[in-house]
Amino acid sequence: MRITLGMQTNQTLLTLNDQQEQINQLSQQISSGVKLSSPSDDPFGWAQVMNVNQGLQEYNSILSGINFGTGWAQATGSALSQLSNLVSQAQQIAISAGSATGTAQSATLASEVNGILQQAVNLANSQYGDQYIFGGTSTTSAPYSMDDLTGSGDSNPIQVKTGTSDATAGGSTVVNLTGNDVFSFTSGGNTLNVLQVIAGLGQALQTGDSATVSSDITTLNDAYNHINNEAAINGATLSDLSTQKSAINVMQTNAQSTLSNLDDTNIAEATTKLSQAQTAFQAALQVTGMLDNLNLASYLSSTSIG
Amino acid sequence: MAGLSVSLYTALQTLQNTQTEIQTASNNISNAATTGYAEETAVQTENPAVLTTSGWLGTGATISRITSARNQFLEQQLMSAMSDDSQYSSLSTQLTAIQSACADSGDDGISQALGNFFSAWSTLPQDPTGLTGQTAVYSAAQNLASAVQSTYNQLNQIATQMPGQIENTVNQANALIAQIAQLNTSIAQSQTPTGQANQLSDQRYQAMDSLAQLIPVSFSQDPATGMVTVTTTDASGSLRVVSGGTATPLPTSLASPITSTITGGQLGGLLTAQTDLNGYIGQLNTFTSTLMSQVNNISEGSEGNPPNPALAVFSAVSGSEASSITASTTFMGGLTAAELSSSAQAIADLQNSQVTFTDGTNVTNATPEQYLSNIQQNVGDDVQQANNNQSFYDALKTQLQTQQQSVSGVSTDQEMVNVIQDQQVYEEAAKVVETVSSLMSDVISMVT
Repeated sequence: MRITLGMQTNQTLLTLNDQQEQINQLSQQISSGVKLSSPSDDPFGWAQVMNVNQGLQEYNSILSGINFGTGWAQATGSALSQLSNLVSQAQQIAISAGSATGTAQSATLASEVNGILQQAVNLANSQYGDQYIFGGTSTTSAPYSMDDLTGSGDSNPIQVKTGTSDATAGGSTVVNLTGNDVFSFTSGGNTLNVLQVIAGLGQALQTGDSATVSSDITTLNDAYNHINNEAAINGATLSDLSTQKSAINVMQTNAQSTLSNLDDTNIAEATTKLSQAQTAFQAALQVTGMLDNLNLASYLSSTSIG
Repeated sequence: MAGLSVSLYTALQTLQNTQTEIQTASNNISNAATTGYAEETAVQTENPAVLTTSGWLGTGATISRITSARNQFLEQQLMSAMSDDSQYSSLSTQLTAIQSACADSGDDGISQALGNFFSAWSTLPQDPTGLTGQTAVYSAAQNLASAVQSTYNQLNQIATQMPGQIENTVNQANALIAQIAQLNTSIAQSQTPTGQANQLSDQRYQAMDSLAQLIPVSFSQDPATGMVTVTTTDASGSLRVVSGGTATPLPTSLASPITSTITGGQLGGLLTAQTDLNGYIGQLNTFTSTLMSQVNNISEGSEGNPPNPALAVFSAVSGSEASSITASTTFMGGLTAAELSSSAQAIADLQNSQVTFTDGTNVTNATPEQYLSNIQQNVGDDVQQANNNQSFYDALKTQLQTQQQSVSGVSTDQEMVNVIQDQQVYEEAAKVVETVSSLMSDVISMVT
């Protein structure tokens, strides 16, 4: 083949450009730590990275839901355990009132019961953050007061996202117990209200109604059992949330490692490739330099004339 | 007829011939790096012999013509590779710009805003009527709308520049077409049977090469007149743009079927980029309108039947959703906690729902995020393909250029050797003149 000046220039330019582009790409990968800088680097990988990132965002919002639910259920649990203590105290008072029926003593017991009622109403107005936990979705105003023992809350559930599936397919959890769930119970076939029963006991002690006082012993026992039962339901919600949290944590870790596989530069591989590309580039430059002197004119001038 | 004066005359012609050859070599060397130059050769032919008593006697040589080294087949191949190379190079440049205008790795841009939008809805049921949760939903909806709009604006900005670039390319091509036709006329006028118009021909090749970078070009040369006929290719077949001295420019109107269906060169690349870009904008519109109608359906139905249009989250002009989407600032007004909670859960569930996206005849079932990442994947695929094609045609072009240069290029070594040879011939011819001259003096002194 006849070799001419233009051929050498074209070929050298193509090779040098290619190698420089490769070096540029590798050094960019190393300095940014990211393998994919634009969709065209790996279109499928890029789309996967986007989907995984969206998944990570979703997991974060699920975790926020789970944390919220856990906090709420813990607040509910502590209110319920104190409430069950109060009911038990009221029951003790009813039992001791049976043996001592003197009016002076009864009056003392009645005021003790009133104190218990006051505490129970305070617990019924427990808050998580600034939300009243026993008011259903009416969380902004206190549902109970000494004048309103039946409560002004509703029976709506507070349902938060706690899983990746749809809300209707198990992806959400009801985290609240409504006032109705907690304070309403059945005893002897009647539906009663815990707070009203305690208030009734106070009145009976005041008026010396010993029949009511003695029947309240059984009624308060039923109330005590009911509250412990609700505490167990709340405990189940808590353990359910903790299971879901570990599941989401596993998914999060998996997603993060997928993301790292897809998008992080393998530094060892990239640096090796870079030094390889640099060597090739240097060799190409050197050859180009050597070709510059390789022509008849310069040979003749250096031998015959020089 | 043979005699000293004939020898003297023959030597004189040799001196003239070598001067022409040295000038040709010198011209070659000085044009070694000139683009479009083809190596020239002074063709030397033997003079007619004369019959003498000793038989046919030679009378030296003449430079009959100066030829230019061209291989039309290679030139044609090279032009077609140049068209392909510049087609994909302009496509790749355009698409890379489009890609960076809409690239979105999931950490930013629309997909980040989309994720935040769903997160806000998913957090709302924790306290449906609380100010914090509602504010988060309102601002996430507005961010999503503005992220879509700003991506659309970026793409649209490129889209509005396209027609100008296309028109510019057409104008450049038309100027070259006119130039080729004019060179045709000049060549036909200055060409004689022995005197080829090499310089004009070089210029014409260079103009055709430039034209080949803009539109696909093929040519054929009429051996009698030296004029070329140039044709280009569009969707309907081939189209003659130069015929002899007549130029037929491309229509500048972008609506014209000829200009808009050219299939190669920079013009073809720009046209493909324009089609691709319109496709992406269409997909962005489909994404926006589908997401909008899904979200609005749920929010408008928050109070049960009939749907209340006042509760719509997003509003937009039908048909150009991506450019006009805005988020309402009142869509939760007056709803009860229970209504908000159930709507919010249903909207948050859209994040993982398979939704039907209809883009013209393409029907895709995907989650909103998957559809979004699919648009990016399409852009990435197109860029990657353009880049791959470009590096292939770049290599092919270089290979053909190498072959073309092997035929038409100037080898400085060869020119050096030619000059040395010419130098020796010149010295020898000069020696002949000296010898003949001394012989002639001898003859003259013999006579006197």
